[in-house]
This record gives sequence, structure tokens and C-alpha cells, in this order.
Amino acid sequence: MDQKSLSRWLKIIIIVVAAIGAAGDAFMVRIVGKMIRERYPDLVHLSLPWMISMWIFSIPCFVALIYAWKVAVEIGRGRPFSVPNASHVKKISYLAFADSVFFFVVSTAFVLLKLNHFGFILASVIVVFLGLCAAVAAAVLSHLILKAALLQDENDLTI
Amino acid sequence: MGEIVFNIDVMLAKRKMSVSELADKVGITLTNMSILKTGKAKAVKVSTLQKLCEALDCQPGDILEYRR
Repeated sequence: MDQKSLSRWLKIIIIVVAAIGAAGDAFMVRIVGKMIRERYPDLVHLSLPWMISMWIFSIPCFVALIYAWKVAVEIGRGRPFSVPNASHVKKISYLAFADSVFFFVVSTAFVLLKLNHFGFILASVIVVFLGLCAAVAAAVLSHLILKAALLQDENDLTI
Repeated sequence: MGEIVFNIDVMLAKRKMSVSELADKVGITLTNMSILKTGKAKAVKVSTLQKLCEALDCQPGDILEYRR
């Protein structure tokens, strides 16, 4: 697969993920919020804050998709190893970390406010763990891309 | 810190050769030749220096200069 094809595929995947995320934000969050209201009538006052926190949680994910799009554009231009790409992936790492911290804080707050269904706690732990894994992986990848970019630059200017 | 400069123009004039002819003989592109002449190159392979000296019939010192 050449770089232009790879770039095209990446852009398609990013659009699909963004569409799924938008659909999840628009419908799934409301459905789960409604479930919370129906199953935990004494926690009705928490369903709106929960829904708002989920929508806030999804914002960094969409911003990360924008940076992923920029990475795909650079790949399409034949510059997969470039300083801008390293910077974009680093920003994705920061977003993943910040989102994980935010999700952990919000989940802890909801557990303390008695929204402590086992499934909710398990899902929260998994989401935080996956977010932190993504942050670490992106940070390492960013460092490697930067080193590769510097090596390529030196190689390009070696006559 | 000083810099190493490639004084290829002087030797080209002496040998009555064009830049494109030299690039062909050495086996590098005109773009790379330009990078070499303008001092933007970060490294030069020994084989490239050897081919330059062979094409221009000169010593490395004839085309290399250290400037402070």
C-alpha cells in the first residue's frame, strides 16, 4: 500500500470513527441517561450531570481525531516522519491523558454520590486504563517519529 | 563556529564544465548539487567527494574550504 492509499484509508477510518462518536454522543448518552433515571429514581438529579460529563469527555476525542486527520494529510504528502507529525501525536497523547484524568475524577465523584453500579465502576476502570495506555503509546510514538524525522532530515541532506 | 564550504564554481570554470554536467558525472541530482554549493548539506559521503575530485580532476583541498 503506498502512502497516498494509506492516507486515504486513514481519512475514511477517521470519518467513520467521528460519525460513530457523534452518533454515540447524540443517542447513546441520552439512552443511558434515561436508563439511569428509570433504574435509579433516587439518582434522577445525577442523570443530567452524567450526560454533560460524557459529552465533555467526548470533546478531546474529537480534537484528537482532528490531529489524526492532520497526521493522515502529512502521510499523504509523503512526509510520515516529520516534526509536525511528531507534534500532532504528542498532542493526541496529552489529550488522552487529560481525558483519562477527567474521566477518573468524574467517575470517582459519581461513585461517591452513590451511582455505584458494578458495571459502571468496571466500565470506568477499563476506560481510564485504556485512555492511559493510549496516552503512553502516543507519547512513545511521538518520540520515535521525532527521532525518525531528524534522521530523515539528516539523510536527505547527506550528499 | 566555522563552516566547510564547497568551492565548486572555481573548479567548474577551470575545467569549463557546467553544473549539470558535473552532477551527471558524479551521479547526483541538480537539487543535491545546489544543496552542496549553498552549504545546506549536513554530511557528504566520502564516495561523493571521491567522484567530485575524479570529475573535476582535483584534490579535496581544491574544492573544500574552512571559513570561520
